[in-house]
Amino acid sequence: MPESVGTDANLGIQETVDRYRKGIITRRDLLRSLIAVTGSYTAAHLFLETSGLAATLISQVESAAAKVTAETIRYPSGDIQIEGYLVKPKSSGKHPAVIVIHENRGLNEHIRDVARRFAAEGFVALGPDLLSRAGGTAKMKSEREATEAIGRLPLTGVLDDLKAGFEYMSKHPDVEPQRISSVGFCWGGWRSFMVATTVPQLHRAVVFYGSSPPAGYENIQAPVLAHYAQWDYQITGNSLWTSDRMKQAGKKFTYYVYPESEHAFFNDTGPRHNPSAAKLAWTRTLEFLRS
Amino acid sequence: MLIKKRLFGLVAGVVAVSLLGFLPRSAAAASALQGTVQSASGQSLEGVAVSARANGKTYTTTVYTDSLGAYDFPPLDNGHYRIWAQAVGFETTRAEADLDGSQTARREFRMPTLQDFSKQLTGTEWIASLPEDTKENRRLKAIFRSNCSGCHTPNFVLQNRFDEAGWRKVIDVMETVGIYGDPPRLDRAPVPLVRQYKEELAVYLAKMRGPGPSPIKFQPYSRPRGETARVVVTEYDYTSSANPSEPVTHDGSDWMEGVPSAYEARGSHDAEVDQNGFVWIADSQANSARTVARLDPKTGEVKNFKLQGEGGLAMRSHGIVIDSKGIAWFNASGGLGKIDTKTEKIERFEPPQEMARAGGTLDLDSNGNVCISTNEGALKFDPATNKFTDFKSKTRGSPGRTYGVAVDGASNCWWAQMNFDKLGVGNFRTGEITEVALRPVSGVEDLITERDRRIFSIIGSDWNSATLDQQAPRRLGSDKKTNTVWVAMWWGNSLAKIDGRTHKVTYYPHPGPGFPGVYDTTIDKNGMVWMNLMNDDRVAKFDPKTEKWTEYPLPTRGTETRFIAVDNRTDPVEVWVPYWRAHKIARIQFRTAEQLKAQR
Repeated sequence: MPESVGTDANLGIQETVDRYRKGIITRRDLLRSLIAVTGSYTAAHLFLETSGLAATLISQVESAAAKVTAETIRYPSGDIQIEGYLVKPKSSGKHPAVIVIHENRGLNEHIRDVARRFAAEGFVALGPDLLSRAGGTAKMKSEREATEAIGRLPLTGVLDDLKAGFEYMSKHPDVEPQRISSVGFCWGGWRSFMVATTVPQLHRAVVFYGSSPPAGYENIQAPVLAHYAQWDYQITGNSLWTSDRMKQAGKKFTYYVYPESEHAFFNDTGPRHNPSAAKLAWTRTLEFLRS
Repeated sequence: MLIKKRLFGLVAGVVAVSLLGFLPRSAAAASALQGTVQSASGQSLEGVAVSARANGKTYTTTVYTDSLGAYDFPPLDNGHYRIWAQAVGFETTRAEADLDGSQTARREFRMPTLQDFSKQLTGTEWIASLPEDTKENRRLKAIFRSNCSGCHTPNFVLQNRFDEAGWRKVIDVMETVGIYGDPPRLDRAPVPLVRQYKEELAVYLAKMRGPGPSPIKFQPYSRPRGETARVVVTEYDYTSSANPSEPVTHDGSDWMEGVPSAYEARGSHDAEVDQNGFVWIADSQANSARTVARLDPKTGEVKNFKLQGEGGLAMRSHGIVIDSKGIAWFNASGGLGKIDTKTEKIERFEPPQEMARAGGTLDLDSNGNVCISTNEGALKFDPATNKFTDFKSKTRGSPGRTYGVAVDGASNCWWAQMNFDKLGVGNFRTGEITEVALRPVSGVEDLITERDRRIFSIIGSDWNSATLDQQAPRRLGSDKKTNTVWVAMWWGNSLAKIDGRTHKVTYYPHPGPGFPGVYDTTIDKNGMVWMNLMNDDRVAKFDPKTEKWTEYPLPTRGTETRFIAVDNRTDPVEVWVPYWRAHKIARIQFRTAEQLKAQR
């Protein structure tokens, strides 16, 4: 637990978490309360990640309503172990699956929440912690430290970790192996697209405001859907080039540019959240994954 | 006291002359250096840069030859000097001299002709030399200009020759490398317009600067003459921010070496002069030693001041401004830095979390309030209450698109929305925000193909990569007396005058050929508008009454200036420009014909 959170604050946090678990307050209220107690958005997230609460944080009400179960799992990638957040629908039988690839801040509460939302929609969702090679997101003292550690990760190593995640999911008893897709946000967006160039069995790839592979379009088998923000010059500006490459390679590529939205518009814990754009992108993503 | 100090200063002889009239050389306790410059065939050469640097000193003084080929330095400190003469088309020619004050030293130069003088050319001379004989050559020249001369000067690119595959590999790097040279990454989105035009540019550049014959016909500009050849330029070494004990070695001093790489060091971004004549420099390079630095023009000494940042690094700066109380304000890693130029006490103010972070340009209103650029507009900081107020652009868009700021005579803070061809105007008294729209660049319509139009409409412009009709208001200055704002239109290659009251815009296109790069403006006490020309190794003066442009030379190649300041304490004013690429701080002083004649 961070030293900056004192005893009184801990009591406040425990009460808040209990109230959330019992369904008395919503997730947003929980985060708002944690920010108030810890003093900042960063400190609240740091507390959630380092306390171990985040991995199991789901209220009884939400869990029951969504009919999902969540757990932390590990899978091998070569010689190392990758930690992941696995959420499953409570319904029996095999389900389509999604690998949820985080932003450049690691596997945080926002990405876990997205994974839960996918599970609530009937998908088995795996959120790999791609900082596992650097000790894991929970070991990072701040968001900035997580971002810096992500910047030092080996490009190919991370792609190997994602491929290993795909293999883990393809052997999972609850997963339909022919219907495993990837969805990546920002830093994870490029990796979602890259998985499509290297894993021919991938069902679908979704890119939220991520850059595009420099090459390898001829290897893509999965249809790709991309969501771009109007005010995200460098990334959205390359949508034309990407679309041309996909067309030349004879691949299926659909992309949308969301007006008056910024990079990270889907992240409802961040300052650039655009609710209407996020809602529309979510609907389109679900339709695409189910198609 | 100030005058007395300057009188006996080591390098400020010209100021003493201009303030006090002419003094005998013995009174200045300094030495005279003069001579003539001729071509190898014995023809007198006008406008040749003659530079002198004493052993053990960290500054170089440069003068230019007159119509008879004669040069005359202001009084110089005694010492052993290296002296060199430079002009485009001639080899750099060198001499040495011991100056001991006992007699006038003379050094005569005969300059051999240089056949391939391409490395001596400024960026704008390169652009002027690219052919416009066909519509396609005009179009690709325009695309090159708008995409390859913002992060660096065009001569940095064109001094090299590669085949088509080589140019393509260069652009592969350029489309993903940052302006500070941070390594390219496969997962970083490339600069979209550069990527779109990569193939066409590689073919074009191989045609212009490939292994085979080139259609380029070099058109060197005429050398300085008359008034512009009477300047004295003192260039101070700015120690490397990577290693502040070391000066930069490849610094553009020898034009035959071409434009220097910025990898050795860069960081001298903005600089302002305080009431005691010290120059305060904002350092934009990631480094462990300094956020700002102070240059003593009398000795060349550079002293570093640091706000501790993260990871052992100093906080980074970019812009600096000094108020009437001698407080220097600068940006520092998203906050506002403050240093008392007298006591050297340094502080930092963090904008509240709900507001935008402090950006890289600053100005002051007449009450001492600070205007600071942000990604989304500007911040007002009131030094009396330490309170920030956020001003957001009416036209929203991608973050990071505000560049320069200036405060007009009625306490309105103006900020340049460089990629939207708009200026935001925030009234510091009432909080009201308005907007001034600029017209697009005309005369390029016939160059834009249907494909270009589609690309432009989808991608748009960024600071250093733009559509062909982008004006790009970059930095600006204000004349508070006349309530006029003067805007440097980067891609538009012009100066805009905006009436602070009516918001009427008047455009003054740069009158010369090429692409000098009008980057920043500052207005002196006489109402003259001064501009640094990033691609031209020159500064320009615009007289609003006569609408005449006058351009003064800088004796370094690849200066890549990004800021200009005037020291209004002197008469005539002195002009200061930091060289971002060549990593020096330069002062320009002005001599009249009568002063020069009397000196001889």
